[in-house]
Amino acid sequence: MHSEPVGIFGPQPHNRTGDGVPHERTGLAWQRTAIAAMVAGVAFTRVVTTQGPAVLGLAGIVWVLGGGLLLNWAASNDSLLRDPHRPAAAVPQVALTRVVGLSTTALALMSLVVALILTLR
Amino acid sequence: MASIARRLSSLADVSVIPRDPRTVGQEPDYRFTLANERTFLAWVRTALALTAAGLGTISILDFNGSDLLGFALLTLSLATAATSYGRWAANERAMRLGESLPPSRLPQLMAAGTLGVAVVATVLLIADAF
Repeated sequence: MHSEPVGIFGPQPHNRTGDGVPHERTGLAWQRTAIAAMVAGVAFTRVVTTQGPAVLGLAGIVWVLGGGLLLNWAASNDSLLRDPHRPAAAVPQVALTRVVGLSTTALALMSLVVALILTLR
Repeated sequence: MASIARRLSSLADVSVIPRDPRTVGQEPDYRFTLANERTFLAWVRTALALTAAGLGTISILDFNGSDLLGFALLTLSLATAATSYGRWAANERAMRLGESLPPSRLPQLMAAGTLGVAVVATVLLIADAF
């Protein structure tokens, strides 16, 4: 008896078997970035609360929470991308990309300032 | 701040806060758009890793010159982060217009910078042991 292989998300559509599942890889890349953001936030918080101006720890906490929100979004976005009925299309995440780029720049700049403060005192 | 942003932009041949690239050209193959997004995310993760490494170097390591190495890592992090969105937008714009992807010197700067930090760290650790 012949039966079609059916996964938990149903039969694989043509546009998701022959293109290297780029949607899913992009979703995972967003998740990895979110986790890296949380780790960087924890590292920043640890440094400023133990050695630097502790009030800046609030920025670190905001950063960790932001990473958590991003991870949540990426995880739910990934589940949407697994929908076999989704057409083969990409929606550039312009606003989110801009926010992530600029906030990473802000964290790097704040870290540089904190490092200067720690070194000069 | 503005002069630093201009210098970083010229280094990577992109502007720090460019316009929305979707206002020009036509929608490219969705696989290229997603690949560009993953490349942007990889640069962001590189910047975050450099930030964590720089902060760790300054706060945890304790040998002559460790602060200098931490500053070098944090500067590389800032350069990477500040140009990541601009590079993404410039690539997206070029794909939509069917043009060649814009060149960037940031990968060379990153390779030279991290190699320099690693070499200097090794030399300083050996010197510190004597």
